[in-house]
Amino acid sequence: MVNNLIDLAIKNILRQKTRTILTVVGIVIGIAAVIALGSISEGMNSMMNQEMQFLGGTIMVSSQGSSSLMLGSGDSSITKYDLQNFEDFSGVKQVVPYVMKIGEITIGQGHPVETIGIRPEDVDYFKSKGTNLNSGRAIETGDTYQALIGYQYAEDNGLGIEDSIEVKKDSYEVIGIIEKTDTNMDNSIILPLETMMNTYSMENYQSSFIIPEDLSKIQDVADDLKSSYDDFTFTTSNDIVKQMSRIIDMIRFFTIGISSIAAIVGGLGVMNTMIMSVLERKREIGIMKAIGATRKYILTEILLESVIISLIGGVIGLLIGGVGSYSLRYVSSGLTEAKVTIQLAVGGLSFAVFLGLIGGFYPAWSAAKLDPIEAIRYE
Amino acid sequence: MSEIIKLENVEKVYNLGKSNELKVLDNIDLKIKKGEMMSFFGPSGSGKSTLLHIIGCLDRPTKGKLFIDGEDVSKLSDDKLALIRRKKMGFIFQQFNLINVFTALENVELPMKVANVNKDKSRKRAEELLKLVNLSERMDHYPNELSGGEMQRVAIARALANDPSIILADEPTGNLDSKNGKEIFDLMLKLNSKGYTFIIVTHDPNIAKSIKRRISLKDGKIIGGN
Repeated sequence: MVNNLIDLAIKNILRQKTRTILTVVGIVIGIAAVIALGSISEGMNSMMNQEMQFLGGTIMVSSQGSSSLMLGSGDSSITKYDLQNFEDFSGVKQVVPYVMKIGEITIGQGHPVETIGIRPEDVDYFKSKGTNLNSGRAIETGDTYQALIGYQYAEDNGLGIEDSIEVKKDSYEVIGIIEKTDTNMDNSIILPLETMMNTYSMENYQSSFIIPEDLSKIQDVADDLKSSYDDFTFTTSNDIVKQMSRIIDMIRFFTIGISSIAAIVGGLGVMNTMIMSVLERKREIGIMKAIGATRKYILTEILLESVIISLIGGVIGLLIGGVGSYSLRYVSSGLTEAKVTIQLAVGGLSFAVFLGLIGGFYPAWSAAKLDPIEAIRYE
Repeated sequence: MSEIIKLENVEKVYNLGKSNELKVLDNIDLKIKKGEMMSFFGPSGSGKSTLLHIIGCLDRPTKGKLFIDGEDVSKLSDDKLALIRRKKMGFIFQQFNLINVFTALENVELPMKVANVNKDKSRKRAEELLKLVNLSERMDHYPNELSGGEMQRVAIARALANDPSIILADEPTGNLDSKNGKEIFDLMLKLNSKGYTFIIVTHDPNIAKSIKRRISLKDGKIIGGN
């Protein structure tokens, strides 16, 4: 029966091609919006998870007033003296200072590159956080104009070990390529801290990781630091997770929530189309009943029509939304790592089917309960 | 011959209990034998179409009983009645009532689609039926490309699709000129001779005269024939 019904439903859908196409477009817009905008929050979520893996168990220090969420956005205001103080602070095991410049160099279509300066002696710390080299060697004490580069950066520029790159008119030798991390690290250049500070005429460190001796006391150490130094902001990875989650939830609510409204409007379009279609075919529905179609048959056939319309819209919307999400990455210069997850794709398609069912139900029901005699007489 | 249809004291009232209550059928008793051809004859408003609809299970009697093949169907649900129509009834209408976006062949296939007959089988049977009504050449034509007589022949083929035992025709020649009307009537006679039971509603005395058994109705009552 299903085959016959699908045949019939498709035939009916194709009767009013323009109207069907317009209805499909309504769903396409809605679902594409859900997918494209939803991919932003999904992308942020997965980016946060990656970053948190990296930041877990550390306290980040930055100058007061700079956003703790935007690493490297603050002024370079941690002096060598401050750093020494942090290192000597009770409960602190190690400090890892760094400087960072974003977007001084761009690749591709303005994709910003992060230039990060780290101390050779901190290489082990980064390794312990899962950042490993794909090839070459790490920065060692004594290195000056040597650089590590991110996987994507190497790929995009066709760079290999012993090639040279230029940062602020100085030439650096590529000594190592970092393996793919799916974070901003992929588009970064790592330089020896001293060289970078000289190059950019920086006196102070921009930021630093502080690693506590006892990881379970991380919050206590952070609180102690906070009460001792007013000029700095100390943020634990937990704080960041909390803040980021709140922001991501909000973004998710707005992106998916608001784009869902577009999809619901699309669903109303389906309902409108099906109501029109049932009205136009009232007499035919009467005939179908006279030749033995049950209520269930009519109901299923018309529901099938609206589900097919919205599913087609959903699939096209998914494709367009996917393309949209991909281009969002470029429009935002890589700041949003928009990501169409399987959950999002399945969710989008299910939403389309749901809209088809909801939009089609009333017209299908009213068709199913038509009185055949009355319907056949309808002109 | 055995009874295929039996009506006992059938009454049909529209708008029951309201101020505009209208009794369209009153105390109808009727037995129809398998393979019979009969007419319901009467002026418009006599209740002949309503009677046809009730026998065809498109409508239910307000009172009384209707037996089809010995089964009391007067209280069955809509969907049960639909199944009876599907298996046992074939309808022919004055307005032909073909579906305009389907070809002649697709129109004939439709009842089989509804009955979930497989595609090849229903295609083959639809072709045979169109051959039977002499429309082999016009199978792929749409209703608006066919003459009235041809459309009615497609409708007859459609009525036969699920091999029903009863064919109900509501003014089948009412929209046709006399030549085409006669052709359709002859076709129905031919099918009747093959064993199909025919009930034909007409107000055309010429048609009624040519049918052996005639039930005359007026104001919802049988006033003649038996």
